[in-house]
Amino acid sequence: MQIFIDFAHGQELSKALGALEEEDKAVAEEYIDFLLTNELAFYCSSLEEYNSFPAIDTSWDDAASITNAVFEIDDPNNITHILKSISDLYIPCVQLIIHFSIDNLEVFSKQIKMFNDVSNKTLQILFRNHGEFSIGDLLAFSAAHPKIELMIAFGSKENLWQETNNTSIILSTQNDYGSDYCGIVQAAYFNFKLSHYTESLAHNTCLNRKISIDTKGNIKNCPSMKESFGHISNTTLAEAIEKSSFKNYWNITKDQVSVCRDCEFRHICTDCRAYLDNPDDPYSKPLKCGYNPYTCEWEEWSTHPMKRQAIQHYQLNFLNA
Amino acid sequence: MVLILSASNDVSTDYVIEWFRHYKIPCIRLNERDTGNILASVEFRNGKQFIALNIKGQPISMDDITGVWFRRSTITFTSALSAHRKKEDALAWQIAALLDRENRVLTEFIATKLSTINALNNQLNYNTNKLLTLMYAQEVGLKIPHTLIATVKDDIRNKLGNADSEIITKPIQDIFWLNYSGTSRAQYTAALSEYSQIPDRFYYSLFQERIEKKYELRIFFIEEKFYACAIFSKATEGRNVYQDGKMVRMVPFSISNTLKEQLVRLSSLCKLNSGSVDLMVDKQGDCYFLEINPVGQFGYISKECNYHLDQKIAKFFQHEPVQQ
Repeated sequence: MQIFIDFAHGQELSKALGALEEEDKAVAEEYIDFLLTNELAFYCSSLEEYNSFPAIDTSWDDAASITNAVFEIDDPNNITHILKSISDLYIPCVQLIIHFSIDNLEVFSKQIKMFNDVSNKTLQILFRNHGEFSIGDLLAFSAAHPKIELMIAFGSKENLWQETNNTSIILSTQNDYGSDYCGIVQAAYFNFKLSHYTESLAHNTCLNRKISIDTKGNIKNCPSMKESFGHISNTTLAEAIEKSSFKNYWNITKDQVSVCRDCEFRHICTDCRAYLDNPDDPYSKPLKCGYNPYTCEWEEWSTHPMKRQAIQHYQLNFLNA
Repeated sequence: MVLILSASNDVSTDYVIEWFRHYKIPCIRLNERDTGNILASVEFRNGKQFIALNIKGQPISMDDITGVWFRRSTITFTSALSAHRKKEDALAWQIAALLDRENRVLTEFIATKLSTINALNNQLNYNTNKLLTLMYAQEVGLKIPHTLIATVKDDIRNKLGNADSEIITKPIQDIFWLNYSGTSRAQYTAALSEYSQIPDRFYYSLFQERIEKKYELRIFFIEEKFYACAIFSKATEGRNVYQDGKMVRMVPFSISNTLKEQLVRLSSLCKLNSGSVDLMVDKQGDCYFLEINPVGQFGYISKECNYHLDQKIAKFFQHEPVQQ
């Protein structure tokens, strides 16, 4: 369809259709019909009117120098340090991957309340459901903490999912979580927002303007990446960002990644640079994606013979256990 | 320091402030509760005025203010004595009335003074007179829908035509919110229904020919830069962002040079250096002016058309030319 639209651009429709072979013309008419019935197009009464609809500007920018952060925490005492990092950089979106035990929601509530005083706008919380909290417990918890937009309770007794206006609560029976489990590409993660699309055209949709601190206190691009840019005991986040290779992955776009560059979903998709089909090639396709754009089929990536070597390389063998 | 007069629930201000921070432009945000009696003293001396302000408990000289964004709220002055107005005491009432006049002079002076410092808008022009605006639109050569203000039923039929469905009615001034039984309702534009039930005489009401619209244009402007958005909605006037559960389609639009020149003249007649203009394009492609608003929402135009307006407003205060 894009080819036809490009071809017909600025021409009178009847002329554009007239220039086509009978067979192509039938297809083009089908396209036009589709665009009109779905209210994706309308007829202009003049070339002047047509020309007053310019292509949309596809540039992307954000006021925040770091737009999102992932903090792995295994000790609640580290929260103070995280709060300082958020304030220093005005990070708007924060994800906490919590490894300490949450047995009591009242105690946890006091810890999360501290985020009310810093500048982040949203908070996602991933944790283990030690306390066997119900979806109702967690809904009530998130209602009391308006910054929470997502809570995932791993190791729950059942798989349940509930969404309110501002929050998604997920109970998952999946037992393990954290860095090894990140990076999965699937249709459920597609993002149709214009800002995601424009960011994707020029930047990496996972790592651009992201920062993270892993359980050991290493400052990284994301907890799953190997490279550390310093330890929080002797490096500030601002210093880590200024290190020469910190932004290396920020501008790797899908148009540069092999296979992805041919994929129709590339600019609404997520990405992963931590687990790759070819671990030696930073432009390789995400390992945990099973989509084949040449056959338009989704396959199970974790058992795919072509991916076995890479899975072993990253020691993700638990997948096949 | 840039002074921002906003409202606590205005999210657009939040986004602009993020860009202020990005460009390291110092600013102070005043919401509706912070804008009262901000003047500490004014001194007229040696051919100059020395104005000391007290903003959120912080002493600031007017000379330190480098820009003002009149976004929502207004500088106000109120005296504790105003409360006496409700009492049955004729003298207290008159004194309160006197203080009201004093306050009006103070407000006008401070607002005018602020509006001369690299200001976006001016609170003294917040309330555009809808009828004057229509007149200005005519003066600059914009088409407007055939409009009538009348008190007699026969005038509607005689002056605007017959078919009830082709006439709409709306408030002479701006949208007015009515609060009753715990709910708020706005007076939006409505099609004139059941002509036969209209009384023969009524109080001044506004009627307009209904334009068969193809799409609407909402145009945000900062000085002479215009950011237009075409809105495809079936509603009488596309104020609803959602329709049948779907997002209303909004796409970038580029206005002709003629229209641009007309709008530049219109905004100058309305004394607005920023705001948004509503227009309607009919089935024949003719463009009709509806209204101009000094403090309209621009967030969704910016988001849907990717105009980066938050950033552009911040840049206005950076003394850098705004890029189209």
